[in-house]
Amino acid sequence: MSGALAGVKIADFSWVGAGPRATKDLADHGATVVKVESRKRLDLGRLSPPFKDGKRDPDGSAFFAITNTSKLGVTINLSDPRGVAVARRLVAWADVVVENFGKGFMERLGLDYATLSADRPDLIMLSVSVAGRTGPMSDLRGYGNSAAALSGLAALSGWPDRSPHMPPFAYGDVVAPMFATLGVLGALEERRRTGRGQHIDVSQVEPLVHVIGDVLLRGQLGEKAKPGNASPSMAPHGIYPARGHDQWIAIAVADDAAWHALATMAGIDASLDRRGAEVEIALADWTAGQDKHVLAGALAAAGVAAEPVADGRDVFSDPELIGSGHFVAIEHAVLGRCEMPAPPAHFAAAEVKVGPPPLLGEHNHRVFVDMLGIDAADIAALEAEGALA
Amino acid sequence: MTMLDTIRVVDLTLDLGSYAGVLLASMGAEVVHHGGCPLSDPAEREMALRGKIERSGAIALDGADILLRGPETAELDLPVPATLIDVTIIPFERDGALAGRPATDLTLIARSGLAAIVGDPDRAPLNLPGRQAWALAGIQGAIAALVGLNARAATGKGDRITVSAYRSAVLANYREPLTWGWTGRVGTRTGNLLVRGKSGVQQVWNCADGFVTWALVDNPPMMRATVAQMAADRLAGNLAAIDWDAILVADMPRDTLETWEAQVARWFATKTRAELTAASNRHGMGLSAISDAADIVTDPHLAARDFWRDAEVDGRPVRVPGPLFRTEAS
Repeated sequence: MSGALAGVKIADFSWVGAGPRATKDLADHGATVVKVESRKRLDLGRLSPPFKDGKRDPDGSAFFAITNTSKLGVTINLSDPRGVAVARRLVAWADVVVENFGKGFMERLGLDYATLSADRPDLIMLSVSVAGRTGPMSDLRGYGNSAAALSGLAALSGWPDRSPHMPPFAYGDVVAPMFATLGVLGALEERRRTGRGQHIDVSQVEPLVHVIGDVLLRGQLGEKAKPGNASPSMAPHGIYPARGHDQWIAIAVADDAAWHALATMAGIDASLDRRGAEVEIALADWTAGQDKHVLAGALAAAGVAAEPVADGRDVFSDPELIGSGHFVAIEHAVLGRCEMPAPPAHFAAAEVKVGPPPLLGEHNHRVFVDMLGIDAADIAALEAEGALA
Repeated sequence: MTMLDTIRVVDLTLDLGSYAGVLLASMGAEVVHHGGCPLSDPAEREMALRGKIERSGAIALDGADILLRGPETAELDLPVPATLIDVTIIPFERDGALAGRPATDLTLIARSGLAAIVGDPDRAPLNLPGRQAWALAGIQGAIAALVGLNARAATGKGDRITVSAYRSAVLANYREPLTWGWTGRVGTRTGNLLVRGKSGVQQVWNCADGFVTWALVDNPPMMRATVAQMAADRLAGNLAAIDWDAILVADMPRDTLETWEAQVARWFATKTRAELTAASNRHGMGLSAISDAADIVTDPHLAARDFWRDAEVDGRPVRVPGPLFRTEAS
């Protein structure tokens, strides 16, 4: 059994979150991904906590690790022309080039799509940026949170009676890489058919607009856009208090049968308005003294969708995830034995294999000498002189 | 988009999983959907069916490349050709302890740990807008299908793939399980405070005509660019003396950050969203205006990228998202 993407070669110049998450997916499925970094300008992901033993170490960031599993890592100083020359060798090896720099950076290096594809019409290039490579906002620099702001996600998040909300994770850094992965896989499919590559321009804003498309559509149809915990098609539909400090249970009633089951269990008059305040108050009174896990199990057994609101600890130790192989143990020179997330799919025929993330420059010799065929003495000299640093 | 224009998809999803077919159709595949749509909400229905061809009658798998199934059709016995990529999208593991447990978008977001960190500390946890567990599972289903296609090109054989919507949602919650595993800290709702390392920073700011997002982060060029603009208006205060390369913002005490943020807030309050956006674009401050929902469908940038498509829902003209990304061939 081998990885589904075995044989696909990717030169990955991307950093932080939006590009590296896409190439992590591809690497976990067997693509050979060479991550290009520099000691002169560290991937900010390497500076992001949590760190091993709380010590700031470019090889000790667990955040970087989960974002870069299964990749090879090299260091190239792209501000040195000799480094750029090596980068060109790497690009010549690759089927796919990935980058998420500000607009103009790859052009200045002569590593942009127009230049590279002139000799390599089969090359696939993926560019990920906050707002895309064209349009009046194409110069915008920022993070996934910028995409949340510009897409409407922030305005539509939070409570309807309060200001916009930024949850403490960059959802734009989650969805855009998945669209980027789709783009690369689609381009590989088209190349198999036509022999031609293409440039894929992924904006972090647009995927977020796609995934909240139903809410934006509802707004166009004249309905209140900011939903809070309400659903247009289910009621009751909310998160209710459970026993203990900051403990909660989510309950979603999808149909009449589930409503009657819930009303019976909670002792609520089933003839009441399911969307009314009286039901909400009665339901909260009923759930407040109960264990969230026990109650969710009882409701689920009665056909009512319900789950405890989990925190990071609950998720980390969830038997459902452990049993499914969601977290895969790896050995890492600095982090030690630790667990990395795997793609959320089981393949009957193909292998999904999650390997360790690279140390900074860990695979310089293997990539430059063994894979690209550059003389080892030349590589050693370039490393010593800072061109491959 | 022509990426998948020779790919044929048979789509048996009804609700969960339906977004996978929408994505594949958007990339050029012919997606033939069977079974109708049980969704009563027109916006949810549109998002589940966009770009698909609705068919009734016998399900024909001959010539199909991809089969998409949801929980309602997961176990449907079909004559599956050996070359078919058979993708099933279900809430939990097919053989796990939670198999068959009722699930909705809200309940999966709750179990994934995402709801616990969305919202304000003085109120209940919140769902994300839309149906994000459903969307994430659909995207993962489409990715899995294309991964399977790639393998088939090498082996000539199809695959049977199962995607867990719960695991798809957990993957989006990339920080919280990690933070617990490495630090023993449990995250909770912090409103608009972004907690990193030992402290936290404000993310949503009032400005003269609305809201913007910006944060003190460990990106020295962005910090220097912002402080330079404040200094130009004589509002930088003691921020001008900070060596951003020598500190880790994530480890600064909250009371220090609050004094810095108060100075930033005073400056933001003097500027409009457009002024701050222009300054950020010009100087690399890492700031963005927060767009209202109504702004989005008329946004000039999205219009310039030909993002929207005109459609009709419930007899009314609307705009729906168009391409997933832009492509250019040499």
